[in-house]
Amino acid sequence: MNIKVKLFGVLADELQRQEVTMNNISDVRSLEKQLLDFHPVFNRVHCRIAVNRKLVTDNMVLHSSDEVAVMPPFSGG
Amino acid sequence: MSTLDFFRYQRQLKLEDFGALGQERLHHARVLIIGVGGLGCPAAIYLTAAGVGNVGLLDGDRVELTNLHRQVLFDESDIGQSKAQVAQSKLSQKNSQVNILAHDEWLTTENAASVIVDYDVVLDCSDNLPTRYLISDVCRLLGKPLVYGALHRYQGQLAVFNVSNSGNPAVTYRCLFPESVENSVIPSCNDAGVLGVLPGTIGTLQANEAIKLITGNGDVLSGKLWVIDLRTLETDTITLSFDTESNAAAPQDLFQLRLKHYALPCLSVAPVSEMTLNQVGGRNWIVVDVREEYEGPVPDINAVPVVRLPFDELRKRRTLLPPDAKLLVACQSGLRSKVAARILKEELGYEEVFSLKGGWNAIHS
Repeated sequence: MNIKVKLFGVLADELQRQEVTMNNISDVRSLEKQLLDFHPVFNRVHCRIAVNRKLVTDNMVLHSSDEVAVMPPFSGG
Repeated sequence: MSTLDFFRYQRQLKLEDFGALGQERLHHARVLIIGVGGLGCPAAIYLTAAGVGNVGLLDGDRVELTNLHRQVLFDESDIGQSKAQVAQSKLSQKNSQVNILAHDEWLTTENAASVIVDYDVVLDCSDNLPTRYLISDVCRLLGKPLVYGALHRYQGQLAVFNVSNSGNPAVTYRCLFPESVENSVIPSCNDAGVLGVLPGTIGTLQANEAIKLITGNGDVLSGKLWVIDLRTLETDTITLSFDTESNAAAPQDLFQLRLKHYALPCLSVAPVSEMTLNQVGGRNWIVVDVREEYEGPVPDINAVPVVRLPFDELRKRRTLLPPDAKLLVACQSGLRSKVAARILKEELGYEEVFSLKGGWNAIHS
């Protein structure tokens, strides 16, 4: 299943886009694993995943209609 | 309320759910603004104008020319002066009824609790992650509502922490972002750039959340993270929940807090010294390029060998670096290299480790 992932902050900067589509995703763990392989910024920055505007704490099954976002910390002030 | 006050605040007194009671509550409130920069300036202006009785301003920094495009309390003639003191003097002119206290110092584990304890609401308007963790931890231990604002280029985050929602445990900053050494590479406004209206927007909304907390009107953004992108005006509201594991890493009392190492950038005992390429010479020197392959080829430097060792592989492939080597760590901008240098020094035991000042950017320009 393909999942569209919305990117924020330093992630969008490094990937030079606001959204990526990841293939063969079944759940949050498989998404995390694929993101780590997809680009080194996901190794360098400890970011959080939100599904349908709710921060994910445990693994959960994903559906193609889910709204998925990856949020890094912002530090500026 | 005096007649003068009645006229001064008439337009907000007219709001039925705010009224005289709201004004009275603001008058008795004590709000601390930590960081009088891009976020802190607009927050302080609106809270002072609205009649918050006591406004504390904490910042150890001095005004610089590069601050003026977004730190709207400061003028050209203020350059070089204390931000907290200049802001105090300007805000006193705006509203002489408000007691404005300048804390011309950086927030540290030594002073944090003794400053914060005197306030009812705290605004995190700081510009670095270690300070954000320190603020969050002190506010949680002292039970102070924390209004958080943070920026990245065109995007802003806003949240209210330490306020319980319908009986659920109060969410903290650590529930959103657990502490992690890797995140020291997150750039600040100085490094990433920022348009002045972004801190203007987020700082103003921090003042709005503080007013809601104090007066009890409206829905406070507790347990939620609100994000805006000023390029599209798209917003997202993400629901957060209490995370026991992330909060277990926080100090559990004020004594533990004083002993914790937060890697605050203001502390003069910076663990990593910076160097330029010209200062490197002699035997045993190695330049360590911690960038990833895709970030570009390793620059060719005469006389000093350069080893590519991407940040994530430092621990795994340390054998590339002889134990007696003197290391100059380099990345693109000089930020990631500082974190890498700290790891090489503190964790991996290399004695002489320096960070390339300004990174490869400084060499090429």
